[in-house]
Amino acid sequence: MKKLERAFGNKLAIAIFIAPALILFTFVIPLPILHSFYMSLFKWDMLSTMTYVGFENYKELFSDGIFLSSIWHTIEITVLSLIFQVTLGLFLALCIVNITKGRKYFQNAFFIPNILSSAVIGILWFFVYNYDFGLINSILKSVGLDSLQQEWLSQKYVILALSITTCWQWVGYHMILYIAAISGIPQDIIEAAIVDGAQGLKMVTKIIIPQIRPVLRVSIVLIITGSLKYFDMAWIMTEGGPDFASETIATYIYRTAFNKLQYGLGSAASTFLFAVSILITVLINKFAAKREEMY
Amino acid sequence: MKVFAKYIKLSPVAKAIIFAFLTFYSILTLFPLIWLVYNSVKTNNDFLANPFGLPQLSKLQLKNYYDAWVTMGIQRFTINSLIISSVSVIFSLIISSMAAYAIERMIWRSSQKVLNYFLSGIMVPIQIILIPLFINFKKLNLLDSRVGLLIPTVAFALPTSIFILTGFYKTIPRELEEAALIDGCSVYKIFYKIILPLTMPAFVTIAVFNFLGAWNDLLIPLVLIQTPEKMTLPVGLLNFRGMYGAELTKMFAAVVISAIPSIIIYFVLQDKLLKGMIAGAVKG
Repeated sequence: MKKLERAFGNKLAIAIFIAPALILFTFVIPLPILHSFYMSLFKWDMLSTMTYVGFENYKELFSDGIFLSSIWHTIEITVLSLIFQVTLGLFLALCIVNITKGRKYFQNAFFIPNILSSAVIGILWFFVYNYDFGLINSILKSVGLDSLQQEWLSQKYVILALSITTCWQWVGYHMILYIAAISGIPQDIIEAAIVDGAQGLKMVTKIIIPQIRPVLRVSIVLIITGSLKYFDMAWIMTEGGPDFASETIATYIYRTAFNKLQYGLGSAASTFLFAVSILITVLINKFAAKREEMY
Repeated sequence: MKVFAKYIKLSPVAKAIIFAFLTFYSILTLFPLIWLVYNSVKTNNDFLANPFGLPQLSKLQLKNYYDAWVTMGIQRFTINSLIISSVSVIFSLIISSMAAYAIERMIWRSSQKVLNYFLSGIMVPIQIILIPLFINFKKLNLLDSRVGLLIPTVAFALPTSIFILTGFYKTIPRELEEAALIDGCSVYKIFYKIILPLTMPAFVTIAVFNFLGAWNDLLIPLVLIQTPEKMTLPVGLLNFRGMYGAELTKMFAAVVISAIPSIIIYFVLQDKLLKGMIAGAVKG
């Protein structure tokens, strides 16, 4: 088997196979992250020369009310997305695994929004929420509830409206994950629970949720990391407005760098976002690992 | 999948309630799309007069679709998107299968470290790298070019693709490669003649997954592409919302057109797509 080891341990072959991916990946993801941190220490608009300012950009960032409120909006969207998508997704999954007819139709109906591009979804929902000719207000009007008509993308409701659209887009995805997990619960566990008299809600809270905990964790991580980089819907539907009411960290980065040409400040915000993403991933993994040890 | 419903015996009333709820919620989910479709064949004035009502059959505006496709230029955006998505899928398949093969089937000490290095890319928010990418691409003259758009699109497809492929390569028996080796094949030939044909099922999953990812992506082309001639569908749509703001029903037609390819891909290849999504999430 010397020959085997020599053939599959061939250093040149390994290098040839791995090099394209390694080079491309390194130049597009890790190196720009470092570059971003480096640039966050400078003031630069691409026209004048770069000036080193130390941590001045970070000071400016955290004294900028719009940035601080963008952090708050990102948190709001994260919390609302978690509530909407996890509970609704779980509820839909529990409903679907309990029926035999029409399963395929319901799965497809709930999942379809997830395959559409955010441009399609954002423009569609921009029209759905419109005050004058939007779907929601015209339904309210046609059933005589004119008084409930709202400017749905107004300061008061915009975060809620965006979170509902995001739920529409993603709930089917999480539902699919939960259905796969519930279907994977070993039969004998369910049978034993039935023998022990577990019914309805008890079955859900005592058997199903603990059994699918790993998948629930994955879906929560995905929702949190997805909300941290929340950009598409906010940019397409409101451009972070009205009056920055739906500005998220991601739209702030985009606006600062590509509209205002403040590359240093934008890089500082990017570096902050990166640090937060890492922190949250580590925290969730630690916390979730501890919880799993307990069971 | 069927197992669960078999073991949990619900009363007919409970089943009826569940069924009614699911039906109601599915209508709620699909209605915005249905509303979009039937308004896309109205005249602008009819839509503004009665946004909720169905179109009159005598006044169907199929011309909206022609205008969206030809006059508004959805045609060009669709072609651009097709090119970028297809070419990036081809590159991501080649590059990620080579890397996954080296990581999973070749024998070297740091293979798992390199795998983890790639996998760490799954979590990186794309916004973080956009500013340096934009600046460096400007210096390299890659801004506003298809090649420039391809580079990050392929790179961001690598982590998940490599993850799925290494999982897949674990399951291939070593004997196949040994036999080929004895027959005098080199590793390159083994990869090309034996492994790649076996990889086809996994390739379909990754291809669908990456194609939709590239097709739907907004942020990378929004930052890197500037001239309308090179815009992809999402950016083009966004650009046109400003330009053709008053012709709402034509805009609806444009949105419907850009939704159709994703829906077709989904219905033709949904098993593969869902597989990729579940596999991608498990690592997540």
